[in-house]
Amino acid sequence: MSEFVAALSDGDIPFLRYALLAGLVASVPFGIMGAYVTTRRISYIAGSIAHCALGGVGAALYFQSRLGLEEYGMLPLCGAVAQALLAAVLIGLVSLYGREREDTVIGAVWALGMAQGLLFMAKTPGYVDPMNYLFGRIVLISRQDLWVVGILAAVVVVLALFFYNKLVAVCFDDEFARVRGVRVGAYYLLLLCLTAVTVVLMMTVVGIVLVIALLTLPAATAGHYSRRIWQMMALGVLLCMAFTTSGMALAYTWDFPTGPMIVMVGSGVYLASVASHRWLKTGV
Amino acid sequence: MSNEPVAALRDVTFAYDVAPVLDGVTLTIHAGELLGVVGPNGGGKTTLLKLILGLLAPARGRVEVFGRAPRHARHRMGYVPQHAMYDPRFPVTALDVVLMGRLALHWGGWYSRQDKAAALEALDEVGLADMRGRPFRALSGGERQRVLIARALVSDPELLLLDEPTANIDAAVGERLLDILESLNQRMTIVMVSHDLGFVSNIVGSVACVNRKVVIHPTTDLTGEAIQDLYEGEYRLIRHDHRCAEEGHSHV
Repeated sequence: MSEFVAALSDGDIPFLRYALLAGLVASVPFGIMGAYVTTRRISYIAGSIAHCALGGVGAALYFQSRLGLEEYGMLPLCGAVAQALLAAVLIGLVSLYGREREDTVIGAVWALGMAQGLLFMAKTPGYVDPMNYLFGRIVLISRQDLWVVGILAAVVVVLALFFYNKLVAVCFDDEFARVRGVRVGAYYLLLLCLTAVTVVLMMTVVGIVLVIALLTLPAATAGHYSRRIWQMMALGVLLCMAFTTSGMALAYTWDFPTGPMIVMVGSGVYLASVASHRWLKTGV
Repeated sequence: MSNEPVAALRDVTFAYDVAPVLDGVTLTIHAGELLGVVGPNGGGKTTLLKLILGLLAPARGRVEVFGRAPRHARHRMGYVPQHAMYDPRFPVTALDVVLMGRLALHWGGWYSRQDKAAALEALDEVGLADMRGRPFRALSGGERQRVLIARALVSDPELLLLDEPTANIDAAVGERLLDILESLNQRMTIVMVSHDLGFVSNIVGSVACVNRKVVIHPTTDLTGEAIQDLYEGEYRLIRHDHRCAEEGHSHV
């Protein structure tokens, strides 16, 4: 562990500091949005949106290379955000107004985005490894990425907290909210868009395949100890910070890939919490 | 109160799919009424409520509430749905749930001190002031139902619509609920859906039987034969309802 602390202050490997900072900053929207996503039970939609974002990464890498925009290192992240927002709006509109089966569309968006991403990457000059984006690769985090993550995280947090009452009501009972004159459709779309931006923020830390665990596990664990949504959010933020930091430290110490290690830590804590919760309640 | 009807349906037809759930329904609800809505499962009771609330739009005919389209009269209605909540472990307190009834008064932001005072008053009215800090998930079925009634009351409705408020709770708790509704009826019009005819006939002024058509009967007329007519001779359904009443509302 001391190696990790030493490495953080090493001037030659700034990416470790960037990754740690990105993980800590992104943990705030992850904890907050995780509470909405788990209570409204739309984690599969969040998963679909995250996977679909690969399409945006591929497109960004392709045009970055074709148009000679290599100095803009944050382009893949921006492409992912744009595509995730598109997926969120599409799924939202289908579930609000569409006559198609919702789960079919969710699955299609999921696969379509990944296919698009892989096709773009295949035609991008030079070698692009999709694994970097699927499972995360902290070496890729640049200073620019850090800025983008910080700004987007701030936007998500401000909106998610400003509309707290409305979003909680829509998650709890959207029919009643509609009777009270709340524009439920608009808030549902807002919820999906905030979720879309959030899942992309950890793309380079844990990857878009694994990111769903970081959205749901801290919130689900926090849910065991919370009476109110805001408590679930606050605890979720702290847990998410703890998972990313400790996962990163363990991965560095034992020379493992970072993303999978973070997910392992989160899953372990969640399972332990489920077990102890049951034990406290039933004694079994 | 004026003579203007609280809600009026004129020749309303509604279908989720092809077969109409409600067909050519005309119904007037007057101020101060306590109307019971009964009928077999799938007969269109909940659909009728949702048409009045403007959550559904009729395929044909007109629905007016307080002389306006339902959408524009929602702020004068209170609604107690049969099922709230997506997540049975949703972390909210009883007071949080009641506060949701004040949502419309805000653009964004947070609940004010007046909102909290009104929510506490509504909880007090249903006899649950002590439970304000309890998690909603830890309440009994009857307590939850009362919290949902408080949530509907906190916006001071003139028309209160309840969907199966006595389902899933035992008879003693059901009696308590009916007492609350009777006293609320002093100041507001109430429409209550129930699958349980024997139960609602004790307090309601009249009964609307919904089974694709709507027939209104004053409760004094509810003899065995009239009940048989209401259900168009479907004995099985009548027996089912009575059994529910004796055993304390096991909802099927």
